[in-house]
Amino acid sequence: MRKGKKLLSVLSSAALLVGLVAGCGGSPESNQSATPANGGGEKSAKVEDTKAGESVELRMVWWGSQNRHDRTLKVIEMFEKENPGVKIKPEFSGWDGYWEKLATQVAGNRMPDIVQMDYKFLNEYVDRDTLLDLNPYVEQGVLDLSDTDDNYIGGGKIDGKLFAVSLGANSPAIAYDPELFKKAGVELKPGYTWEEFANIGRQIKEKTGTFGIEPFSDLNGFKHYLRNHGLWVYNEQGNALGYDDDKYLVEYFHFFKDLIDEGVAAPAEQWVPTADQVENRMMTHGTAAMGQMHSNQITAVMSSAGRPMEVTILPSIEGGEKGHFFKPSQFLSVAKTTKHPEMAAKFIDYVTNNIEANDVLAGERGLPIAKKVRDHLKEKADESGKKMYEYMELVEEYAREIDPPDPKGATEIEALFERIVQEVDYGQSTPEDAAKKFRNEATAILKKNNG
Amino acid sequence: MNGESQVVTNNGAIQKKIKPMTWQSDLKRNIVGYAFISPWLIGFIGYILGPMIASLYLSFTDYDLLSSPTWIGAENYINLFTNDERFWTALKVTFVFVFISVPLKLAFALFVAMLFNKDYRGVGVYRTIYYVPSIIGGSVAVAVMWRELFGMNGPVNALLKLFGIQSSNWVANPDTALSTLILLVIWQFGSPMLIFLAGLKQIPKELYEAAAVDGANKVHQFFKITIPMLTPIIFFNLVMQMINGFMTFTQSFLVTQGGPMDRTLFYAVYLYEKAFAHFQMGYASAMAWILLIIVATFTAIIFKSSSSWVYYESEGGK
Repeated sequence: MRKGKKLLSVLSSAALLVGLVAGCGGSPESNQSATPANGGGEKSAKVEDTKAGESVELRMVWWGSQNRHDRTLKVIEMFEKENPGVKIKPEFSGWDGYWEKLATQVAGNRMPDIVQMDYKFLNEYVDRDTLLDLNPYVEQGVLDLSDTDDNYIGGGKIDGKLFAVSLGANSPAIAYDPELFKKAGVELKPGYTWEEFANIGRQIKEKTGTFGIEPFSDLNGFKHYLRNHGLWVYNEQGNALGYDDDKYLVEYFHFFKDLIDEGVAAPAEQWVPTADQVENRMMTHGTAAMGQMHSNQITAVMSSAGRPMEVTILPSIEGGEKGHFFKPSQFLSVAKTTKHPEMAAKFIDYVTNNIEANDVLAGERGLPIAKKVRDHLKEKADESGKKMYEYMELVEEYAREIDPPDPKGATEIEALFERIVQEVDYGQSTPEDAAKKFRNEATAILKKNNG
Repeated sequence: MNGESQVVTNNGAIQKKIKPMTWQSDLKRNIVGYAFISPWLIGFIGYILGPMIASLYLSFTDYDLLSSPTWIGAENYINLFTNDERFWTALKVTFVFVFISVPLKLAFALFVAMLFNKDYRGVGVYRTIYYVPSIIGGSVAVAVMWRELFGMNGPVNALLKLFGIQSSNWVANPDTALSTLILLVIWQFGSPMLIFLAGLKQIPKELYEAAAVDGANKVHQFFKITIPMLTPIIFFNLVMQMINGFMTFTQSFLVTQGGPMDRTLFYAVYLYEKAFAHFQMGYASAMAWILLIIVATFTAIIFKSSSSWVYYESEGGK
């Protein structure tokens, strides 16, 4: 009996050990990607698309909030009704885990046919030859982009090939709580400087007791600051940083750290836990008066705040350059392995140009790229929607051309930047050391990926 | 297996008189047996052995999931040890976590098991209730609950406020984040508790009676009877919990995402980040093998040491 127990423990610990290398059993991903494959591994030998009565099945993946899921599902239903025999199988999730899952599916030759793509991943997926060039379908007229300004299409092109169609334009924004602003008797006038930004924060803290500023958590703020100075994070080849002097990053770190020490900006302990949850940010809870986010998140922030919020542009520098740019908020891409490229292109066309479809989508993914759709939506937008359209018009005045798509390894650098921001804001690292550390580690990452 | 019949002799001492079997006849004899274990066997080969071999191969390659792997020799291993600060951070965090959480969890499980080792009304219900955390402990809901519980405006802080203690967000504070996770893991004491409970039930009552007659008090009884008689169970639980501890993933991934500032960057979380956030599958495979070696070493140490502290009645007190 006792001997049996000893044997049992030997065996079961061996089994556990083995499980460890074979891919940690407890990971949440392990069982959820069990959706049946459809896209097969074959290269896309051109398969004829649907004639009436034939059934076509496409898989589509996207990330987003519940709001987006509901809207997108509705549009898929409408598209299926208009195209009998077509079935689009949705797979959706939040941003967390989305790229992990997609990469795994691609590795397993089960890439979904229609993929919601992000600007910073576009290069990686094109580099690895996973996306379909959509130009032929534009030429055939399946995908109609005649109503779309080139500015909105450019972001999805690499070497002249159209690998992704923008679903909406987008720009970083400052969201603020008008109630707190009124109480403090302050105003954010577009064109305001970083110093004015800090002063308004101070006044709010002084008059209302609420934190004036939620510190910026990610690389977007620093990108903006660099663009203010006419610089960019990455160099043109994408194998090193694009700015030579660390003083910019030191200044940027100091800006927020000093405000935290002053009690004007929220300390790390308060902003870090919710920094990546749009619905749960400090502005929405009324614990900080201003914070940075993306223009297409306005709807989500307003609906979770349950009270009016205002948006405006990021700070400027006196005599500096324009910092803003129109970033494609996300794209739709088609997998190279798809069996029904034409139907996939048709779906993208539907999402881009169809007025009823966009009535449902309501610009939740960002400013629609087709002019007709944009004008139509602006007219009938609700309050939060109107805010976004007005904001994007404002951005036009403060925007200049977009820098080239992020190089390979950019996602790792963004994660690195967020870690280092936290080190500074928690007081574990001085702005000077942190800037140096960022340069060293970012350079190493870029070299490894593009050297 | 074949090896049993083809006896290799040491010094030519023993020579078994079974005629050597060919593998065909061996297979024929055992085919029914293999058929019976085939579900497990197929699963083992397909889902464990295969991936293991693949991961060993991948650990010597540069593999980003999207394009095919390229052989780079031991570069991943060299980089890990010489060029990756976060690897050492992850190791440190994991070691601290394992060495604190496992003994505490076992002690707590034993304590609760002792409470439940009596017969009173409703004890079954209590046992079930206290087992629940270890079933649901790894779930998203519990992780979110934990985050709120120890959050800035959570119940824990509200309680502390009653006693006039001002504190911060436990999960977001670099000094307390790891402790919060350790607490979460200790709270999931259910399965070692059940095993302890089974062990306690097997200790003969006479031992306690005899000790009581000799004047031993409860404390003496606990240290002189309960603990020694339980050592096989403690041994088993220790090994299992230690292995589990090194592989802990969910709690950190869901509650703190490895933060703040990598203070809860468990090894498995870092491995996952490398593999799936940065698409460095080769690197992550190398990390998995290093973890295997670490865990195997510790398991071996515990097994080796067991002869000096684990008491098996059936082996005549050895």
